[in-house]
Amino acid sequence: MIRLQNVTKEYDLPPGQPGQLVAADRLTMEVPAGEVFGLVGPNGAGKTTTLKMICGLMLPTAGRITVNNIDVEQQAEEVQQYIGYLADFFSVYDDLKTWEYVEHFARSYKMERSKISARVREVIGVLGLETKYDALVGGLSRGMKQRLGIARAIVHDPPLLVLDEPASGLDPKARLELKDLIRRLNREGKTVFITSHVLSDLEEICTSLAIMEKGKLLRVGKIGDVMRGAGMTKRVRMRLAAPGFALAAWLASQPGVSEIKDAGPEAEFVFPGTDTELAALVRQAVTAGAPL
Amino acid sequence: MIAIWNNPEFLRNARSQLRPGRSLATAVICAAISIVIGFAISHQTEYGRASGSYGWGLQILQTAFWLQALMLAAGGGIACINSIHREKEQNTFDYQRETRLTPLELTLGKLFGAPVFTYFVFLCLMPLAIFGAVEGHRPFLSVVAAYAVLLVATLTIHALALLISLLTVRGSHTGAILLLLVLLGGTASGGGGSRAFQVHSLGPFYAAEVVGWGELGSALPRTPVGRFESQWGVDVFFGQEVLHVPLLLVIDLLFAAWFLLALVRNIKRDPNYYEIYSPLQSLGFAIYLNLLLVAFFNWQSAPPVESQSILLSLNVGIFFCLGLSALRNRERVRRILRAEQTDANRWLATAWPAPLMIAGTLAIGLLIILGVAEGRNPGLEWNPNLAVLRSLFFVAWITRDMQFLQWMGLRRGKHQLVMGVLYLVIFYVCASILMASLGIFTKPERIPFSAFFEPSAIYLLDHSAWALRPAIWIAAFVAQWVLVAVFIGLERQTIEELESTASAPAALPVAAQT
Repeated sequence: MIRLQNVTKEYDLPPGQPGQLVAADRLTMEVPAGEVFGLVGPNGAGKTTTLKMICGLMLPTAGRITVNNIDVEQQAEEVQQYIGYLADFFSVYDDLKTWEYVEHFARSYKMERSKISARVREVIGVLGLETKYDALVGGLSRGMKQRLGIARAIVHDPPLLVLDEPASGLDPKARLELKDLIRRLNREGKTVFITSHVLSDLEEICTSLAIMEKGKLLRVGKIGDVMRGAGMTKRVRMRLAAPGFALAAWLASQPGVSEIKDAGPEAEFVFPGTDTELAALVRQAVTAGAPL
Repeated sequence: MIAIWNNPEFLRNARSQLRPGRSLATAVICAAISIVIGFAISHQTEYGRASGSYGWGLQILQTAFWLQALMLAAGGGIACINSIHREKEQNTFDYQRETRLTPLELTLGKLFGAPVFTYFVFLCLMPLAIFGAVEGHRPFLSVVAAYAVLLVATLTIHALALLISLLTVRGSHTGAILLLLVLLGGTASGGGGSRAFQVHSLGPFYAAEVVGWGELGSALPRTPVGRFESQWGVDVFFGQEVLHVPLLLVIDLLFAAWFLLALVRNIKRDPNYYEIYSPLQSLGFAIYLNLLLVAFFNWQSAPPVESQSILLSLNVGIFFCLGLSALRNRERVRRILRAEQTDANRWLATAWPAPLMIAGTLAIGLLIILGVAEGRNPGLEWNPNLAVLRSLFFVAWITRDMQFLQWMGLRRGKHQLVMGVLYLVIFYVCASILMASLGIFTKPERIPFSAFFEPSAIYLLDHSAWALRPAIWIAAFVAQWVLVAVFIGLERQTIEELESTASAPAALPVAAQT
């Protein structure tokens, strides 16, 4: 779906600092269709720059980017029909009504006019904004504006969603809803390219992950592999509610589990998987008869 | 292409600016103002008493036109300047660039959408204008011509304002609005044509003058208010008398087309890579402006040398604007160095913008010489060789300054180009003061020395001045090209520094085991 070949973006460092900032340093990677691909890294790692280059909003200093085998630089408008983009800031037209805002972008993406009205209603419904259908955007809460931004990004039903730090500034409930939405969109067949500087935001929803720092890609691959390879393991402690189950022995038989410390009804161990994989391990333990 | 009434950007603006409550309030205010103006003019002025409805009808119509022109040109212009600039400030512009609207569709949507509220006010003032036209017994053609002038000139202003909005950077927004208002003020004051140029105003306020015209073709006013009427304005275009209105419409539409071209080229681009016109388009625009200058120039108004001097002086402004727009920033040069690694591109990057400046100024210099040769009074002195030398000096001088600015613009640091312009201004001010105090401008034998620093003297170079010190003139000319070479050398050095700061080869990302 997305292919980056030796993509480089260089900036000047602020006056007084010698040299230049390489926001993207010869990035080469591929995101297959159907993935939820996470790009994680600290602030200033070059995530937003990379994402803007993928969307054609920023030209790379060198290198080539294709989306659906279409060159982003050469055929920007052709590419844009495949992309739904959400920036890392809340920016909406406050003087439009919710439906007008979504409809504006449906028209701008040149959807069939006969389908626009129904699609606008549908998207507003999917995002849970039905009650604000006729309200001015300026009066919406931060979370609602973020959902409206996602509505704008998906209204033309693009196969690729490019989301820049979509969870930033959202409360925990809104974050959970956002994760659910991304999973749902992915199940519907959309490829999602998402960035965050918080790994825990991504590990539950991503199928693949890239770690970026100072413009360089440190690791790319399936999420579990990346986390294991990068040493991103969890130290977990399990405690039995009642004795009678050989917890340490059972854990030793599980793949990936290491450094087990047996302390009677309690066991501490290192687990390299994601939260989802850990939840699966807990379920297996309960199924095996462990009263956790 | 999407029709304008279906253009999403136009609809967005119309929806947000023309909410029913706001529209109703505006209509009521306009109606009240119209009534007050109509009543005041028809009852309290000398026109009302002296000449009946012919006089005050015309007065009302002209007032309505002034209000409409002010609203559309100034109000709409400011709305256009705000439009893209504000979107960039609010971070909504990227979303527009990301849509499937073509650059032309997005541009047209903004061109007609941003000032949509002022169009509404314009319509609300129409009843007052129609009332004035009917009461003033104005010829239908005059009124139609006046509206054509108003709308087309306004469209041109809006296109320019939108272009300014696209190019405006943070902090220069107020300056951009002031620039637009000064420009509008300039067009509002014109009307009778100047001595050097035989053309009437090309701005929207000229419409108020057009409604005062009588029937087309009538030699003398036939109405009882003859003293309020005038004949249709005529310009001299390449020596031929041509009605001003159709000429204004064509010229303004062509200006609008040039501004639209610049908008369409850039509106969806990465702002770091804005390029107002391609090199060829820049040359085309310079030639278009100069064709207008040559076409309307009154060759009998000045001796040939002075005519050439006037036209070259006007081109200083034209080429400074075109030159500034052609300068490349560090981002662009970096990209050329990294992505377009051919010898020709690298050579061009090193010497830019000298090739464009030389080609453009040379072409325009020759065009002016041709114009002077054709239009001058044959009885007056004219030396083609010296005319060519004057043009070549112009080429060297513009190229020197642009090369300096390009070098400054490529240097590392904040606002280097602005600093370059500032240094240039300081240089000219200091050089002028110094030369004036040394009597260089006043003593004929010293005048050639001024050509080392600034070109004012060269513009009036005639045979006697040349004969006094030919070697100094030539030395000054050579010195300009030496300076061009020096600035190219400095630019090359800066580009090499830029290239040498490229990052070391990156480590390949570690592919995770699957």
